[in-house]
Amino acid sequence: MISNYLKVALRNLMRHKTFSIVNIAGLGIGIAGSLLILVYVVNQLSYDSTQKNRSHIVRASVILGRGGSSMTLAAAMPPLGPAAAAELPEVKAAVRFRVDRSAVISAGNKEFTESAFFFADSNVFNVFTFPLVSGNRANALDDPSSIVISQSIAHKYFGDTDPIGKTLVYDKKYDFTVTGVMKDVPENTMLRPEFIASYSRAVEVQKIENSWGSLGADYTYLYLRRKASVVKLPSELEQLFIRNTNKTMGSLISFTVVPLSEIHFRPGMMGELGPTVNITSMNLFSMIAFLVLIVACLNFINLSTARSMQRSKEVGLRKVVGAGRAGLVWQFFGESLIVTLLSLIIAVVIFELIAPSLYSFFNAEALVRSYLNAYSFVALLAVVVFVAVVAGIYPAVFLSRYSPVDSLRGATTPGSAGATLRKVLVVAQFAIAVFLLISTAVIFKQINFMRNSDLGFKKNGVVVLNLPESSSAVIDKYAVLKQAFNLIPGVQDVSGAGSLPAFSWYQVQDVHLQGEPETKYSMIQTIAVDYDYLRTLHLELLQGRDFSRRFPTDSDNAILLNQSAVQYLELKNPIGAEVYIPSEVPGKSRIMKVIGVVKDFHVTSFQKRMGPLLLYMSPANFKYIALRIDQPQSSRIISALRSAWEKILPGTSFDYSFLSQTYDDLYRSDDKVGSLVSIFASLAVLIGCMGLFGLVSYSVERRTKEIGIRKVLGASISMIVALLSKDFTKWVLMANVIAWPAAYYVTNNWLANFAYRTSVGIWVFVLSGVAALLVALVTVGSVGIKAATANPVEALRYE
Amino acid sequence: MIRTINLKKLYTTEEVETTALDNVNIEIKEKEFVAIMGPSGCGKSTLLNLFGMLDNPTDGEYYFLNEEVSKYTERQRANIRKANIGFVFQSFNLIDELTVFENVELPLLYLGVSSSERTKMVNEVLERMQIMHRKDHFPQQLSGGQQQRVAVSRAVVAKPALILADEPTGNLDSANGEEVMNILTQLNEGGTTIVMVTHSPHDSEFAHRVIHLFDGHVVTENYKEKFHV
Repeated sequence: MISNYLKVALRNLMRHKTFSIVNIAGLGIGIAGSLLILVYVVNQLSYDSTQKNRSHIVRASVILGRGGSSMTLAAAMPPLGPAAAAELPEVKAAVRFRVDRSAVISAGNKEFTESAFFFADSNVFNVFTFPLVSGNRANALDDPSSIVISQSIAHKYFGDTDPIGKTLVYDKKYDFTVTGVMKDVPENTMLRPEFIASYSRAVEVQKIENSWGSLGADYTYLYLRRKASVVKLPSELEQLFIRNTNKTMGSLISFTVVPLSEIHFRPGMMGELGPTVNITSMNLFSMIAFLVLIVACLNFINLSTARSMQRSKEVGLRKVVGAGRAGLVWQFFGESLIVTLLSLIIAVVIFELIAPSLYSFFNAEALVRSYLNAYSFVALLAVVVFVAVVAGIYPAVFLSRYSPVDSLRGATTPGSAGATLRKVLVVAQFAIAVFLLISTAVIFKQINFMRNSDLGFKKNGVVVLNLPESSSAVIDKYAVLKQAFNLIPGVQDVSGAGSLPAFSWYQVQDVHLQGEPETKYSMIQTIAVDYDYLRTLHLELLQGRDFSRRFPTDSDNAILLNQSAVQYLELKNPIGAEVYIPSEVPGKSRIMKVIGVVKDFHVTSFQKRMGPLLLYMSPANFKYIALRIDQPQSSRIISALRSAWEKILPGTSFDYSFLSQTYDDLYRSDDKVGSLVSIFASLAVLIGCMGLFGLVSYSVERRTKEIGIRKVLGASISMIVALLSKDFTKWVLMANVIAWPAAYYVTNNWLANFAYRTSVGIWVFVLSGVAALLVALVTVGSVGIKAATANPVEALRYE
Repeated sequence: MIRTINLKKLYTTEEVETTALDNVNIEIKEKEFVAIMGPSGCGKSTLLNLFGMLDNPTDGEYYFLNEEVSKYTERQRANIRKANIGFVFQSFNLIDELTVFENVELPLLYLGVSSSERTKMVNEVLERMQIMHRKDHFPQQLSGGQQQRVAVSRAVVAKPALILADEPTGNLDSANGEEVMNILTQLNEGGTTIVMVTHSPHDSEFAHRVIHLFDGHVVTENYKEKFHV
């Protein structure tokens, strides 16, 4: 029996080739599309799932400032973890991490700069799942000079020899003894240490000041007791902080805790340890995957039921010779399954072709290497079951319903109910397509807006050199470097900088206005700059003056504020105002005078508001040198910079980047969202049109006689095409009515992620609707013209 | 074999109610060959569909093999039908996607006959209908007469007690029509009851009895001498 079903199914597919190709390809494209997204989303959702205690681990993070100008740091202060573990009943243990992203590590004659050098409290292996392949988990980090390394690091430095007991040298002077080797940490993890050294040693090596005021480098994870509530934790941490400092400090700092499993989905924390994704984007992606799949399924249902009339004779006959309804349902369900499986083959081929480039585009490196893992298998299975059930059940039930008498007499109108359903399905398909088109348009409008808006500075033509960290020798050579660079033809301006737009380094100061009570602190982001910082970046000075060599005191007590800072400090006459800065900046006066006001510029992406900013002069805090250069000569200039650098700072690495690139990277994820949505919107439209093509062909076939009669009575070709197009036009318009409000809601939600955003104009909706309509009309027209130009005699002979 | 008491069939559309059959009382005995005649729209095919349990009557009783089946569900009717009744249609109604062999095999599949048994039975009937040489062809590749022979093969392959034929020669030329009528006669002589709807006085000559219908009523019944109960 099954072989009989199979034969009929396959012969049917072979006989109606166009129909089969449209149906299988449509479904295949849909499955491939949704699978591509689904595998990515599942991979993202699996972040940190290897941590066995993940549901009991939270990270405590510091929020600086209150209200509008607050910012959240991923890390906290050194004493917080131990104090929380000791004093808060719900905290079982605390683990602090400190990370060196450019650690110079050597063993024998091998030396590398390592980006995943972690210091951690010695209980790290009890709380976190970093399985050791050798060494003792319980006491691996008990000795301050002990270190645990990953298997690949062990291989990199020690080859095949046993690394236990061997020595690694940190920063050329500190010896660490390898006490354990851990498995390489999977890539879908926020915490990916390759080295874990004892935190107690970091106090010496990294010169950690164990104070409550030392902010921003100690990633503090709290391991909570079972059933402990995290709701009260932030306020308890705040109380803890106040108990150890004072009320004034407490008014500036608050805390937030993020469960380990959610950290990957919380973008926007400063100094985050790994890549984050926007949960809105994830939701958007999942929704698109689902919509594309739905469109493909609707297509399938549509085409299958539309063709059902040709199958009705068979249904009738099978019933006459004894088939039951159940048997027929299984037969047609089986046919759907066959088509689904054929589509699956196409889907897998498309998937194989696209997955590597798509996933590297998304920086999902783990997926690029092996996207065929358990997760993608689950995703695949889910998709197939979904398609088979959704797309298979309805046609099966629909077809098996025919009464044998009617179907053999040829009296089956393919169900008025079926016809209504098909209309609904076409409307739904186009609604989804229009929805995706609008979303695409809005996303690109926002991206365009961000690209073309005035940033407040000129990002093109700026080269950024990284100054090596933790080396006072470099700072001493800064003046020499600057002089040498200025001599290179094509270099226009040179300035040291503590930070630059789009660079994540930040410094925060609590300040208050001179003459105001000390309790009235405000938090302000500060950037250490040099004389030519404004000129190098083309920042606009609104009031007062820039730092100038003519005023020797500028380097000691002058500051510039941006507009937001002037507002934030409520300064009516900013120039000459005196600002008190209590924290210590080496060799600086604590009372600073405002000499100028700079126009607000975008330090971070458009997602964040431009906050208050204070610029002061302090070469000791420089991390970069920014140079404005003649762009056409950039390669020559860079090699000149390199040779000057190598003369002045021999033995240090010359790392450069372009500011414009770094800044554009801020939009990369938005760009990706945009590209993805546009690809899948086109897919949805394509599949929708394939369905429409099938439906129109069917409808033309059904109306052949009518078309013949109309032509005999004198209808012109254009009248016939109009006749055929009328219904479809109505449906596409109806689809717009459904799609617009949904698209309005979703795109506005997405735009809410941006502090600076474009408006969603009505033309976006109109154009998307018109585009869908045009595509539909072209599809209908192409079939319609063929029918309309056919010989009416042929048409009437069908009777 | 077949007995109807006051059989009635109404077709109802949104606006009109059509009486297709009214007060039909017919008895057909085993091994009989009955022709049903009458003008277009008189209810011949409706009656045949009721006999074949493809449809349920609106009112009245229908005894098939002494079983009252008029209120049976579709599943029950299908079960009786597949074991006892073969159908032959004017337009052959072969499944285009199946070969001659597979078309004839179909009823046996639904009866759950084993594969080797099926092959044997199908080959036997194809042999008898002299269509064996065409068994791997598809219906479109055959002439009308050949198609109808395949259809008759399909109707008789399960050895049903009753064959219902709806204008079996309607789409055939006279030579092919003659051949089909001969086959039906042979089957009848072999013991199969045959009920045939026809327009053709010539074809009705082959039957033992002709029932005339007019506007849903039985008008006359003519017995031929050939058949004696």
